[in-house]
Amino acid sequence: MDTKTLETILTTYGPTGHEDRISSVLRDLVAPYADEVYNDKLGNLIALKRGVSGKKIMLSAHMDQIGLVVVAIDEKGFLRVANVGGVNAPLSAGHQVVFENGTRGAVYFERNEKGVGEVKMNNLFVDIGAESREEAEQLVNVGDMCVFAGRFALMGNRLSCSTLDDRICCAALVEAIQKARSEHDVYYVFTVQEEVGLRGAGTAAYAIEPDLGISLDVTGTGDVPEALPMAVELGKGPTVKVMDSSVIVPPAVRRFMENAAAEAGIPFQREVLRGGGTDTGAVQRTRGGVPAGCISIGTRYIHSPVETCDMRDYENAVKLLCACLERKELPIA
Amino acid sequence: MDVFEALSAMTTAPGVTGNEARVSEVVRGYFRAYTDDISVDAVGNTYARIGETGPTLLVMAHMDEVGMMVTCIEDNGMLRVRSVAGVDPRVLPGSEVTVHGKREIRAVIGAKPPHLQDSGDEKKAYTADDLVCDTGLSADEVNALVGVGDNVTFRLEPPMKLKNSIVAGKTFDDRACVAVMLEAMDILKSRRLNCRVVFCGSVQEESGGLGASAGGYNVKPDLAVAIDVCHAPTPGTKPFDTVEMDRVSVTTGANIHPKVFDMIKASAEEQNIPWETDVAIGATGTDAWSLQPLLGGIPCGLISLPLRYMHTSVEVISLDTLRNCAKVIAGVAANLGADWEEKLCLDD
Repeated sequence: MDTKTLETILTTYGPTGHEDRISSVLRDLVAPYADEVYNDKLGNLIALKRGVSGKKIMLSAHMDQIGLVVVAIDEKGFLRVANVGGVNAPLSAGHQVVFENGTRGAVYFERNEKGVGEVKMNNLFVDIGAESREEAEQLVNVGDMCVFAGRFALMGNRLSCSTLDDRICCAALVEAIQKARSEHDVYYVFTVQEEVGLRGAGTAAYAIEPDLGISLDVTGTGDVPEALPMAVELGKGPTVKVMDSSVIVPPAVRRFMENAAAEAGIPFQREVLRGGGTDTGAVQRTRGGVPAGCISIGTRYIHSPVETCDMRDYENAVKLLCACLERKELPIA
Repeated sequence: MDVFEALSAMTTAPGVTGNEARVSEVVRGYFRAYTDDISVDAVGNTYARIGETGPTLLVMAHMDEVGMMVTCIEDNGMLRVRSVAGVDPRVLPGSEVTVHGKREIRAVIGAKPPHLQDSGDEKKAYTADDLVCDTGLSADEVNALVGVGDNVTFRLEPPMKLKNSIVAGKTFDDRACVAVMLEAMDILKSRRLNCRVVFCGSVQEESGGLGASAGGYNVKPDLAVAIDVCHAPTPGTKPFDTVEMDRVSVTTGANIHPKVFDMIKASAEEQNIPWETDVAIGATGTDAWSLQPLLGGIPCGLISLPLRYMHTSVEVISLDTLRNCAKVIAGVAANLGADWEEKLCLDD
């Protein structure tokens, strides 16, 4: 994928519940390669590429991003905010944000006795440059959402941007729909509302009734100073998820992915994520149960404005996904 | 049926939450004595069906056990582990465990000895990050045999018999209740049924009930009874949190359909089985909780077997009470027939 397209996918506005803009960007990118493209009632973007086997695979990557929502505007024009998804308050202070209409803001915190590390969401405010409530209300209303102003930085093989979770995997699906050959019906689903409880993926899986679900998301790493023990490092390949807070991947699905990787000579790591859930859990739990697994891209500093991954892992994640889609036999429990 | 033998076979089969294939195989082996109608669904729930006509009663006990998983292999070959669901790190130091790598490997869980701890640490319990799983193997041997994501269970030892039908062992939560289902099938084999009974060994109860929600959807029962363990009194517990070891616990509360409660109570009383009402105001933390809201609502009941020291390798139960649980659930099935809708109706 060319850098400009990747940057567009990463920096288009789309906090949870407001995914229409990123949905339309992704729709334009996948439409030429799909037999059918539609949005469901919740807003999930679904691109279907038909096969001949009669089996259905649902792929998913979430297009929503974490953000801040305006809960009040004070008389001096400062915005008070609450989190949309798992935003870390201390890590938000000192960063620029942007609203859907392009309004920019600076996030800072109440400078009383507290150090920034003790800051809670209630202590944050957003300065949009307004000098009064009235002036602020010309630009922003209570309920509007802002996101970190995505700064896209290529650093050698590595990439830093606030939206790697999970736009990097949206990019992987866009690339896969162009490259993958599969005899199965493959549903490329860009889900909504993952960050507030995996809400889009379950709805999509209910309607699709897939024989196999494969989600793509970011995962933590254990390769930074004083990290908690975790056997995932940047640059060592995408991961095959074993479990996270939302799912324990069936061993048969893991074997399916690991065999695909081994046969295609793609490096991979096994991932046990200590905290955090993924769409995989919601897909697995749909109707009478769906065999579901997850390919992840190791990412440092998740849910901060400087999420960082390795593009070689991204490329291998696309290859691994394509290798899975090319397999005739799908795993059963 | 030799219930101790079945319990031994089932508790020595590994089946950590999310990886229940081996215990499922053992359970299917026991199911086969009572029916040919056996199946496994997409998530691993294991079913046995008896009875041909009438309403469908789903009886569910979970097969999965609390256990651990390898998260990381240290350079020296020590394994770092985390709980998959429900293992309390405070009970782990000094435990004998089995690592389920390319083969089964015996290991122990160790921690920094008290002599070397910083002052003040002696008052704190060990957390998972303080613990290591030590196989005694070299780093090379460990890397050849064990991978991240492999399960670790309490050592696969058969239960031990204490006095008065009391037994102690691993994984009675909830394999003892799978044994209840087997005993119930044994009782029902000589009875003529006016209902269909689907016995289900469910998966992933300990991680939030994936098996129950998939199983309820697949079976579409008219009513369901979950069988699980509850807490028996030990020093320091409160009476309203516990049920005596010799009584069958029958739950009432928001998770339970009042008429299913009545059916269970009637079955116990008809057979003069000692039972006790357990009150659960909200969530019961069992498969009944996951089953209840499915498909427009499933009337649910819950029978529990009292157990001491839950989620350890020395869970303690009474085999007599286990058998009584089986009689109660068998009685519910035997009493169920064409008038089931009237019996469930709340307008009286």
